[in-house]
Amino acid sequence: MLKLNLVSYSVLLAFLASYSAIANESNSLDLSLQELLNVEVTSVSKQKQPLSNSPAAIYVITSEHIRNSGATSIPQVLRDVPGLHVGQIDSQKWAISSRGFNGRYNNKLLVLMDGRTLYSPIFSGVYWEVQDTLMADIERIEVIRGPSAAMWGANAVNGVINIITKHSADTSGGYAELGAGDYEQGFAGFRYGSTLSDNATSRVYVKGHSRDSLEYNSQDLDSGLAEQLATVDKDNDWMHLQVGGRVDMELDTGTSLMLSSDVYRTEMQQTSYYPSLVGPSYRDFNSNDISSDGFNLLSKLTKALSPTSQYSLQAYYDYAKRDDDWYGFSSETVDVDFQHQLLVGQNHNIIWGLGYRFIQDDFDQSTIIVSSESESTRTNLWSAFIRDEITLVDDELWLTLASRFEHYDYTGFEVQPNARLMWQLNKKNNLWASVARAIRTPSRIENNLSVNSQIIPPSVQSPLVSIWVAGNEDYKSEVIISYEVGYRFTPAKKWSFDSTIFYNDYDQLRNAPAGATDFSTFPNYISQYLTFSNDLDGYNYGFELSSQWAATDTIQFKVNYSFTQNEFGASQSQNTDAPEHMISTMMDWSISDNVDFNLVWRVIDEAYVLNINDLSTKEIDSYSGVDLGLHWKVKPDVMLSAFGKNLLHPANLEFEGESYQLPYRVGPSYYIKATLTF
Amino acid sequence: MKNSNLSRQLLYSLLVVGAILLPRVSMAQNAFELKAALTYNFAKFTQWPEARLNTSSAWKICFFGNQYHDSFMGLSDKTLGTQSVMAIELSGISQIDQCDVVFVDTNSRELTHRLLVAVDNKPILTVSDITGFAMQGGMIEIVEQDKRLYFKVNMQVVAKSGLTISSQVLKLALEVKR
Repeated sequence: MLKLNLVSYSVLLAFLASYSAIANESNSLDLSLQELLNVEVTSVSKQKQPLSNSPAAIYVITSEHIRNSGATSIPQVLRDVPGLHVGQIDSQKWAISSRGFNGRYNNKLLVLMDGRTLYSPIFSGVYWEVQDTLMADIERIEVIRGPSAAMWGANAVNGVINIITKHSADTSGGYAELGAGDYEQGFAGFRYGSTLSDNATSRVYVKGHSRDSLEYNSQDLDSGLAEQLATVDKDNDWMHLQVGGRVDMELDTGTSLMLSSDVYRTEMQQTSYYPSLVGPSYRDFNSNDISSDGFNLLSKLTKALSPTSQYSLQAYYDYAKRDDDWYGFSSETVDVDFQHQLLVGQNHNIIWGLGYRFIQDDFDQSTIIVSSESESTRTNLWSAFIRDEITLVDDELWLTLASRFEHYDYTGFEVQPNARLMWQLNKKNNLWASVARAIRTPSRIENNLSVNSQIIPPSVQSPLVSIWVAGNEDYKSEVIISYEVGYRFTPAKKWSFDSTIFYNDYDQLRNAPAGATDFSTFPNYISQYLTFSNDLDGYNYGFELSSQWAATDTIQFKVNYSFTQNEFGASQSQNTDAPEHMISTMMDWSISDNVDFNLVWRVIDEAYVLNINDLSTKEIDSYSGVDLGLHWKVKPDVMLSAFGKNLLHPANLEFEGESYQLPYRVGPSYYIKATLTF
Repeated sequence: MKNSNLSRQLLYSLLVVGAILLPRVSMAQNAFELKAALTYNFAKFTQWPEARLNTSSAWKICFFGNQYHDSFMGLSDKTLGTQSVMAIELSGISQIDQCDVVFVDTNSRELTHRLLVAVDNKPILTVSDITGFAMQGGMIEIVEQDKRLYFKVNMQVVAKSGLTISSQVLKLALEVKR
C-alpha cells in the first residue's frame, strides 16, 4: 500500500515538474510552430509604455489608458498628465494648458489631430467642446510640455497636444458602445472598419452624446450679480453629434496615402452676462441655445525614396462655425505641409519642411464686439523649418539643432530656434537639456476687434463709462525663452522615473493700458478704450515628475506631480499662474482575466482666474477627487463598465471662464457603459 | 494511522489540483516571447539562397523595439542548421543590410515605409505584428486574435526576394496572399 502510494507520488511529481519546466524557463523558444500557435497569450494588447527617448518633456497617453479611464471626450483624458492643468468650466467648456496661462481662451498651447491644427483663429484658443472623435479609435495622445515651436510653429509655446488616431487596418470589424449616467445622460458610438481591396482599409464612425448641466451655486458669484441673475435660467447642457471616417491605401512599396474626414454639430445651452448701457444693472443677462458646426477633410501622402529618405505631403481643409449669444464666427482654413526626412552620412538625421496656411474668417459684429477691419478677413502664414539631429558620440550623445522661420500677415517675419542635447549615460540613466525661443502670434481679437468689457455706472463725479478692450494693429507676438533639463531614471525593469526642471522667461506679454477716450457720445456716456499692448514680462519655473511602478504582473501604479512658481506682475490682462502643486496617483489592477479595476486620486492646488468684466482676480480653491472604474469582460466580445468620477468630495469649482460666463461646480457623477465588438 | 492517511490524501489532492492548474498557468505566455519564438521558427522553415548558406557567418535576427529586448536575446543560444543565431537590436534602417531576419513591432509603424524600401527584393525575411503589414508589402504578419497568435504570409513579396517558405508553415497560416 505504502509502495503504491510512493509510486503515485513520484508519478505526480514528475508530471508537475515537466509542466513547471515550461513555466519557469519560458521555453516557448523550444516549442514547435504548431505548439506556439496553441499557446495562450497572457498580455494581449498590453504594450508596455516605453520611456520616451526624446530630449523633451513628453508624456504619452496610451489607448489602453483611454479605455481604462472611460473618458468619453478628449478633455477628460487629458486630466492627470503631469504639468497639464485641466479645469472644467461648465458642461461643455474647458480650460486646458501646460505650465500656466490657462483659460477658456488659452492661446499658448498647440493642439493637433493627425496633423490638423485645432485652434480657432479668432482667439487662438481651442473650442474643446467641438474637438472630438471616437475615443476607441485614438491610438495615442502625445503631450509635450514646453515649447516645440521649432518643429510645430507659432503657438507651440507652452506645449503641444498631438492626438493620433489609429491606422484603419487596426480598426477592422465592428465596434459599438452605449452608456448612460447622471451627468453623462446618454452616449453612443459605432464604428465599422473594412478591407476595401488588396491594399486599402477603411473605417466609418458615428458618435453622439447628451450631457446634463453642471451645478450652479449663487455663492460662487458676487452677491449683487447673483441677485440679478436669480431669475435667469442657468442650464448649460450639451449635445454633440459627429460622423467621420478614414481610408488608408498602400500605393506602392513604401508609399501610402491616408484620407480622413469628420463632420459635426454641437448644440449647447449657455448663460452669459454682457455690459449694457441700460440701468439699473448695466448688464444684460440671457440664456441661449448656441450651436457650432464643422467639417474637415485631410489627405496625407507618405513616400519612402530610399532606406534613408522619406517625404510626406499633407493638405487639409477645415471649416468651423460658431453661433454664440452675441457674435457669430466662421473660418475656413487651407493648409499644405511638406516634410522631408533624410539621413546624411552616419551622424545627421535631418528633417526639413515647408508650409502654407490660408485662413479666411467671417465675423458677425454685435453691440459688444466690433471689428475695425472688414467683417471677413484673410490671413496667410508661410513657414519653413529645418532640424538636424547630430550623433556626437554613438549611442551616447546627441545634439539637435532646429529652427523655424515664419511669415505671418499680422506680425511679419519670425525666427524660432531650439537646441537640445541628450546624453545617455547608460541603460538606466538619461539626461537631456534644451534652450528654445518661441512666439505666440496675435489672434484676430488682438489685432482688430474691440470688445465691450464693462460699463461703469454714472456717479456724481463721472458720466456713464463704457470700457472697451481694443485690438491693436501694431500688437506684436509674445515671446518665450525656455530652459529645460530632464532626467530619466530606470532603476529596475519595472520601475521608472521621468523628471523635468524648467525656467520660462516671457517677454512682450499682453497688457491693456488705457488708450483713447471717446467723448462723441457725451453727455449720454463716454467710451474709454484699453488698447492691447506688449508691455509686460515675467517668468515661471518648476518641476515635473512622472513615475511608474509595475508592482506585479497585474498591478501597476503611476504618480504624476508638478510644481510651479509663478512670477508675473500684478496687472496682467490674461491668466498667468499655474496651480503651484498638482498631483495624481493612479492604480490599474487586473483582478482576474476578466475583471479590471482602476483608481485615480488627484489634488489640484488653488488657481487664479482673471475676470475680464471688472479686471479683478478670483481665487479658485484647491480641490481633490477620486475616479473609479470597474470593467467586466462578460464574453470576449462584450464588456460592461461602471465609472464614478470626482468622488468622495463635494462639488467644487475647477475653473471659471474669463469673460461673461457663470461659474459652475463639478461634482460626483456616475455612468455605466457597454461595449461590443464584432 | 488515520491521521497520516488524511495528510497523505491532502497531499494527493494538492498535487492533483496543482497538476490541473499549473499547465494552464505555464502554457499562457507573454506575447513578446511568443513573437520572438515565432520569428525564430519562421526562419527555421525558410529555405535560404545557396549563397547565404555557403557563407559561414551566424544567422542575424534583428528587431526593433526595446520592449522585445529580453525576448529576442533569448534566441542567442539557438542555432539554425549548423550556424549559431545572433539577436541584434536595431536603432535605424541603415543597419538593415546585415540582417537575415527583421522583426518590427507595432510601435514602429512609421518605420515601415523606409524598411520595406530597404529590403525590397533582398533575401531578408520580414516579420511584424503591425496590422496590415502583409498588405503593405511585408512578408509575415503576426495577428493576435482571441488570446492566440496567428499569421498571414504575403507570398508575392517572399517570391520576389528569392526566399522560399516551407509548405509546413503555409499550411498553418491564417491567410496566404499569392
